[in-house]
Amino acid sequence: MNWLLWRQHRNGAVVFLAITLAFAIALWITGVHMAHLYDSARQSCTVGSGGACDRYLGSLFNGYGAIIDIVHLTLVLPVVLGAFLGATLIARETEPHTNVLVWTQGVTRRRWLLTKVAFALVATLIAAGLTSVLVTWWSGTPNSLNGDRFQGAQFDTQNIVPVAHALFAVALGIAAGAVLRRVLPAIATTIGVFVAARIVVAVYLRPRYAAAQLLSTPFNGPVGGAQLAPGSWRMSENVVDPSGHVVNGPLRVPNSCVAGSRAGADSCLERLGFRQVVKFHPASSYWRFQWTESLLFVGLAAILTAVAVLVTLRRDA
Amino acid sequence: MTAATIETTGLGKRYGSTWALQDVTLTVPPGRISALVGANGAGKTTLLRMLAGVATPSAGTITVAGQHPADDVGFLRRISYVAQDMPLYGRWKVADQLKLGTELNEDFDDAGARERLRALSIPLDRKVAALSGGMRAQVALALALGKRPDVLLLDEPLAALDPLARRDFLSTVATAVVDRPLTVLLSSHLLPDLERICDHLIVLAGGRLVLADDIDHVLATHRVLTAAARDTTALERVHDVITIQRTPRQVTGVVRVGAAPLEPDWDVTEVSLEEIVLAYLGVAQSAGPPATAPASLTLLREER
Amino acid sequence: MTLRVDGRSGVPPYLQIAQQIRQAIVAGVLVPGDQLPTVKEMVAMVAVNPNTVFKSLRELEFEGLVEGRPGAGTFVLRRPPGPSASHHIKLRRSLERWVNQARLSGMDDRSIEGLVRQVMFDLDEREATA
Repeated sequence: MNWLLWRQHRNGAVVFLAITLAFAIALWITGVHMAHLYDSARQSCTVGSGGACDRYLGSLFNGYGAIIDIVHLTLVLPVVLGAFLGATLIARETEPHTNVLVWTQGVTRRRWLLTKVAFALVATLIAAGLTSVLVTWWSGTPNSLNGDRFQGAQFDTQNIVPVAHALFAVALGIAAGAVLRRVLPAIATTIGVFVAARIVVAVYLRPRYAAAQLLSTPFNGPVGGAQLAPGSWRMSENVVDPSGHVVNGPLRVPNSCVAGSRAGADSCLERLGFRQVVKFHPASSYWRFQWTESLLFVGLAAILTAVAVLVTLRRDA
Repeated sequence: MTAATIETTGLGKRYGSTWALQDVTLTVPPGRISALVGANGAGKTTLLRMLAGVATPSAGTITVAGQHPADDVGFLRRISYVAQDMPLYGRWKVADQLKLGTELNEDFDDAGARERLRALSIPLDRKVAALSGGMRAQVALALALGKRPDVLLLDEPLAALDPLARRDFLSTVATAVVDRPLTVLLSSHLLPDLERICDHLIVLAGGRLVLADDIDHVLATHRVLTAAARDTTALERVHDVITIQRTPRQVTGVVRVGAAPLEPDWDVTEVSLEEIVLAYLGVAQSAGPPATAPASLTLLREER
Repeated sequence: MTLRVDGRSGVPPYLQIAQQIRQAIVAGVLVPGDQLPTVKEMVAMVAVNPNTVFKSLRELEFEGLVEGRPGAGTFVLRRPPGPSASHHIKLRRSLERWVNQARLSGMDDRSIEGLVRQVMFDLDEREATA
């Protein structure tokens, strides 16, 4: 059985290891450079002390666009694993009927299936885990600079969430292959459902893993509302009227505040009780969110794996 | 290590509301090479898949070598199954294909399999997909025989093979039976080929069992009866008339002759196996002498 | 020696094999003491059920032409009565010439067989009435 696993997956394993090795080298070299650059830049100027310093820091990594893009590209690793490892795991046998050959040798269907599934999930854990370790280490510097690890692509590609996404994608692929039995439909289904699930979770569920916090600033204060600590997840900024409702669309200035100047109007609205409110999750919630999303996707992965195993064991070959 | 008996009782398989196989009760005695014959859709593949444990019956029971087909190594060791399209890993070399046998089976006869392929000049380092149909079939067979099974199940193994490849394939199967006690069940449309090598016959039609018997016995007990046009009720009462054909002047029938004597005005001739099978499958045969140029079973109508 | 079975000839395969082995013994290809090909070799040559080969050997044993020795194989015991090997070869050669002639003159094989049977029948009749 071990020989069979190796024989069937050796090409993919070799390709993946080669790419990962190249990736690791690139990250190591650039990561070390970027850290040095950032350290020496910080010594020579202080953040927030003036526009020039901020601008200098903002353009510090302009030459590193390529590696930054490549790191962001690891966002697709889960779906790639799901399509090429997960969806093909069972479907590549059922489609040409080699499953009949393999299931009538001296290894039971149950043992074949559990070994293959365990292999796929462990391989995914290692592949995604390794990638995440590299990316998270490398991202230490950009995270410090940009303070954005709680957002978007950064949240999805660092620490444990990418590993959970990958396990979900692979389990989804295995289930799709088990149910559909043909490789291309399984791949298409895996990609489609994975993308849909990720969008739904990221847009509707993730913001609600904890109650959002609100920070209110004066209406006539700096536009855009409060400045948050680095590493927070800024969700939205809105104008809120005196009764606490969010103002959508253009603000209708009440007649009592129509005045000659903008500043005057702003002060008037401020006195009436209009505020700017920023909705956010504090940086301290980062790990809670990582764990919540990871457990959600790992739970889904477990269910999908169970479905795949049951369907494959019960059905006629 | 003995040849195994295959027994089924009331075996059936249903897909939705259609019964692909129904109420099949048969016993294949051990050590036989049995032909499984029938038109497309008669249930041959369904039967073989259930015997191999690859599909589950909807009704009835199966015993192969005293065991019910199950997903366990004890049963898997007794059987070898070569499915209809002879699935193999096309991108692998032949040597790897045999290695699959060694790795996934205890006690795989690797040396024997290699020797068999060498004797047929099949290169071990060629990719399976690059082999001819006949060579692929021999690789599939070598893999199946290397497992040292007690029962060998072959689903239409001759279908895609040219006559020479067919002969070689059958030759390999027949010599394997000399080597070790083996019960073979192979399905095919090509009755003349099967006739040489098989000594037991199973005929399916429309999902039901129509005939299951040793070939010698079938040939010994069936006859073609011809006479001038007459009433046949007396005959039909006493003997098992399989088919009967009437023209205004003549009556001809294929009959399984029982113990009772026949009326003297019946002209009795021996009948070929093919004609017997066709009679059981309900295809009309024109009156005349026993088969001279055998019609191929691939000309059969679909069973109603 | 090579064996062949013609599925269409109407003669049961086991008899065809027995006949071919008998012919080989008559023609001197196999002499008493020679070992016949093994069952496995014969099955491989002809692609028939092993039982068919066993039946042929039993037939030949019954005729006293061969003898099976357990563990060793089957051996030729004696030659069936008839012309000597060299005489047999002569007869065969003149038959080949005659068949060739008949074919060249336009006779088909069925007519040739029919003629041979007719001649044998007539000779028997003549002998009977003689």
